[in-house]
Amino acid sequence: MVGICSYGAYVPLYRLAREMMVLEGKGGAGERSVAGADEDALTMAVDAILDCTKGKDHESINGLINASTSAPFDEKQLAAAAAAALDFGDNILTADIGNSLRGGLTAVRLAADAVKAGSAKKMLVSASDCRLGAPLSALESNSGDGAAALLVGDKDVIATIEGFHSFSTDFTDTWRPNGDKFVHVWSDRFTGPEGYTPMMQAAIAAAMKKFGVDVAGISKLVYSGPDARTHAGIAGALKFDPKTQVQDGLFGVMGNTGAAQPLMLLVAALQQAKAGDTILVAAWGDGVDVMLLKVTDAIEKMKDRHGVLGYLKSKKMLPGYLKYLRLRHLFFMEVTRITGITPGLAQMWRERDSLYKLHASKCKQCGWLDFPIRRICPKCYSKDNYDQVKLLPEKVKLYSFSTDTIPTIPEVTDPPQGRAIIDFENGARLELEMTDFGDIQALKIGQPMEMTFRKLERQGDVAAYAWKCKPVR
Amino acid sequence: MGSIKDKVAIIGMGCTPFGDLWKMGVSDLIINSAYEAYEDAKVGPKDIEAVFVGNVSSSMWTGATVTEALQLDKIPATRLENNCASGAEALRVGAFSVAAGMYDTVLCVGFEKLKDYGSGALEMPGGLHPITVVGSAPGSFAKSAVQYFEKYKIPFEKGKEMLAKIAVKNHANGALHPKAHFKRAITLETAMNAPIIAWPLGLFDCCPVTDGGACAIITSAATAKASKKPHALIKGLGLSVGRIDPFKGKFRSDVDITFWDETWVAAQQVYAQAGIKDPRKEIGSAEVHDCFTITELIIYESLGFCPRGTAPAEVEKGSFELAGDLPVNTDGGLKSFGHPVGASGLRMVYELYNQQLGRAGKRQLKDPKIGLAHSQGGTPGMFQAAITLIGPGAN
Repeated sequence: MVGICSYGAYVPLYRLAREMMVLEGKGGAGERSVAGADEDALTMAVDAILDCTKGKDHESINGLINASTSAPFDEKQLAAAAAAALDFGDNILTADIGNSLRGGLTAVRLAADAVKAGSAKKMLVSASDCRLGAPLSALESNSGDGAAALLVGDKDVIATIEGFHSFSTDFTDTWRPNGDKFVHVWSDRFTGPEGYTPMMQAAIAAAMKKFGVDVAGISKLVYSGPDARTHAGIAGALKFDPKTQVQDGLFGVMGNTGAAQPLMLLVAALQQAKAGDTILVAAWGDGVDVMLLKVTDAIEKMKDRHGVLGYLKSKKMLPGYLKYLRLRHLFFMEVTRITGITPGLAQMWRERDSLYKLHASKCKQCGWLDFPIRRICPKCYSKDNYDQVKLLPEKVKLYSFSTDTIPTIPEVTDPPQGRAIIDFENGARLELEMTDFGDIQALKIGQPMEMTFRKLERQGDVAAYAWKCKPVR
Repeated sequence: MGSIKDKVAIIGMGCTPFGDLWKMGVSDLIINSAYEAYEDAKVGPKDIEAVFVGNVSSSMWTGATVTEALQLDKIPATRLENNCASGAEALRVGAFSVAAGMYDTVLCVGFEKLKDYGSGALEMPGGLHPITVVGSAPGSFAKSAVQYFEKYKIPFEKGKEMLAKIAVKNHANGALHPKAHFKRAITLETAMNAPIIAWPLGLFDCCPVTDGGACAIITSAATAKASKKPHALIKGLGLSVGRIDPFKGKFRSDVDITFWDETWVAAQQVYAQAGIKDPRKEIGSAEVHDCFTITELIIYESLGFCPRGTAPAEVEKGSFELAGDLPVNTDGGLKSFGHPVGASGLRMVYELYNQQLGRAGKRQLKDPKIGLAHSQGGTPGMFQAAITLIGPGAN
């Protein structure tokens, strides 16, 4: 039976209190999640997939489909970059689904159909978004940043997929024309009553009829929506009990995470689900996709995932709205340096096994481990005589650390930069950037660290991403 | 390995004031330092047989940059680069050319023009690994401080204070030198409370970015002796280059960032050449590469001035202050005199030379014995360590 085999999510460390999101006076209630300066839809997708694939073999994955409306490139695939960083095999299907807020659930349907058709055994679906609302707009305040990932397959499923229902419409409530930075919004006096509210209700009702379930037969209704009030209207009208039967939209603690929202809310629901539960998921955007899930006993094996709820617990509040603008690269400081260092695409490509896949070389003669891959063994001088070993699955400890207010990078959005030397359990040592480190004085030599795939800040960068380390969350 | 001891003499030296030299271009740095050296050595441009130039910041500064500035016509001129040891390299390779009997009057030049490129840390455009090199020199050396504190169980505040004392010492010495970048003594409080550059290193733990130039005119020991001019003799030349380059993204699990291995090896080379058994007693003063206070602390141990782990106690005792038993950085060092990278190695020798000739003014040591100049390019993990020993002349 085709279903969900694993789940994962990622919520960035930073939160902004909405009351600060005003020019003067007091803004809205609650807080939203904010991606770090070195995070985007690609890096958050990688983090969510790492959470989802914990304990899973990366090489057996046959495909990755990512949904996002804020992919860092208009031309260049996010899924292929993520698959490379995650060291998935080369002969896999990768695809991006862009442009629509319901793309994540659409991707699940495509993945499930691929598994059902026998063209793939295990498909990963990720959805990630870091959308920009115009400064001080309601959309900026209501939004959040985050990602979710689901592993779709037909073995060891934690929830079987009982059916899909899709509805497509050209109704326009939010849109971002080609080249624009910020998402546009129509008046909510129009978009709710004419679009979202009746269309979501109708699609959910039609799906329930198609699946042959009634309100009493559904343990949890999970669905996306633009804001808390508009979202709440759906369940009430369909006679679901908002207290017990509806997954919290997490608007007060995270915000609307765009294309990631339906899958993130589903992950939150799965984190609280028990065997036998029936979950109905609906995703809004240019129509509606609906999916019915039945939770199996295997759900108990998922307890080590951070998921949405785990990541929501670890957070750092931003000191103010200006810091948010800095993290989103919307507020610039003058660059005082003239020269820049541009990463060479050719060099990055040559060294991709080390830089993206985090492979070290292990000398076949004496066993010495070195990172990045080194052709001459420093211990026994064997030449080109090594195996490539993966560092990503290894546990990491902090060897030494510092901050850096004047790194070689001309402009750092979120100074000071963190720097560390880390030791992998298999003996490799690596000097690299440290991110999301909080209070530098609170760090301790020897403390556990984890790897996170992040954007590098470089002048003239082409596709500069690399692994960084951060304290375990 | 052979020995360079007593084969080559320094007969003249020059050094520009170090600082933010907005009014001086590269040619000015070369001309002003070279003409001071000419006057000192009593030689003129037509006497120079060959030029060796140490410079880091651009491959477009070549030997011809010096021949052009000084209008030295169609003589051998070579640019040398060995990171922060480039100035020392100009003297080292120049000395070998004299010792080999190729030339009798050689000009060794070091200069760096950094301020024109903007503020911040040392610029190193090109040659860095595009991905894995992520930070500035302060960020690299700061991690050595964190590890050193941990290894020797030094509480944070105590460690900050220990490092601050090194900065206070170097500023006190620099205040006595008219050519230093910062001619100003500082208090312990100022050093400890300065803004953080790369935690735990604060502003006063870091040397500045500086413009400057320095020169030496060298000849054979025999020529110097016959001329009866005041001079100093080269007693040893050492160089050790590591093999794990963090600038190229390399690191290794057996790298000890609390000790400078290359400096240790280069020191053993020069001590063997000069017949030095007990450096603490036989070295009169040392000019060391204090790019950061933590660097200088670890240098004390790496040069064998004190056993590993005992540098903090020596700092507490004031052993390396001007009045201590082995004064270090009598001219203020990189911290206070400044660090125009390619010039620094020769600037250090300039101070040792002046100490030998009794010209060091308020900083003059009673018995300069043998002076040691130490330059250390690179970053924890891999260094280019160069050491030059300077002793009294033959007459």
